[in-house]
Amino acid sequence: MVRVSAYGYPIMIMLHSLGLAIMVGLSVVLSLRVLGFFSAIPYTSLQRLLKIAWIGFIINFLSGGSLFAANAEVFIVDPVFLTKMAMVIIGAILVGIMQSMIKGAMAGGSADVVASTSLKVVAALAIAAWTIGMVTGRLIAYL
Amino acid sequence: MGSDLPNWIRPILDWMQTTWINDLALGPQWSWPILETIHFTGMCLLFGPIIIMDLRLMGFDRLSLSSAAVHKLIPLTVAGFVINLLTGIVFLFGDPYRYAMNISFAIKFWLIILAGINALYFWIKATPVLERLGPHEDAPTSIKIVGLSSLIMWTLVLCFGRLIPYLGTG
Repeated sequence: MVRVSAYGYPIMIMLHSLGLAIMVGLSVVLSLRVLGFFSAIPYTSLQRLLKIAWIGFIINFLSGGSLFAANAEVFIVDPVFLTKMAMVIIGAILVGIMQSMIKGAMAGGSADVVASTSLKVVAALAIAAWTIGMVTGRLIAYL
Repeated sequence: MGSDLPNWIRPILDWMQTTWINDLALGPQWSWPILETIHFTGMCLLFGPIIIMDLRLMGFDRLSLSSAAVHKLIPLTVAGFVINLLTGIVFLFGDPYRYAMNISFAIKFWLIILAGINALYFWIKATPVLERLGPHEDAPTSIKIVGLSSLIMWTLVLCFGRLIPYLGTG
């Protein structure tokens, strides 16, 4: 679809940037919260906002799938693309782990206590994965 | 190049191409791609807090999320904006004729001005109203509209920014 329509490619690229800003923008802020910044944001709100972040992920899964399908044979052998994909998958898994760890902490009644060290490590790794994923993703067009 | 441009703007565009900022953008082959990655980083730092602040202004999760808590995100969004203003200016100096003729950039530019006016309105008119409310109280509809406008405007800024290479390139 992207290949035949003159509008398809720009629209998918545009949606992919929007989904990126939603998923990465929110994940980074919420990871910073886990790391001790913006501590006035309660964990309950954190959980609700992380659900919104996944909307961005879905937008990018769909738009990204469409962009990939239009040029699959090029992307599948591109090391920059493969690095980006690995980082996106790791980033998404880390956000999922972060969500379930926060859920566990809240169930234990410690909703607003300081995050455990392991939770902080997950948050820091999530920021790193998203940053590398975003940078390599943007560089696919150039490298 | 640029036959539709008004005459007064040409000397400015020509001068922009003689500056060190132009050298910075076009000098080494890798500088434009690096600036793009920084511009995208700034975009995420700007947009993440905007989503949270504007949704909260519209009433999202107001019973557990205080308005004071989301206000703490302002420095992060300002940092993202400054990063993108600076990298954006380098892009303009790097290829001034392209941006001067680009419809998508023009739309993006005026949307940023509108979003700025909206933020100014929020700061001057809405802040005193919000200060009289409790930390979890619902804002009046007139103020919720300011939040919704902000979210829509920044979303459109992002979209038209990304469409610059595809829409109305002279």
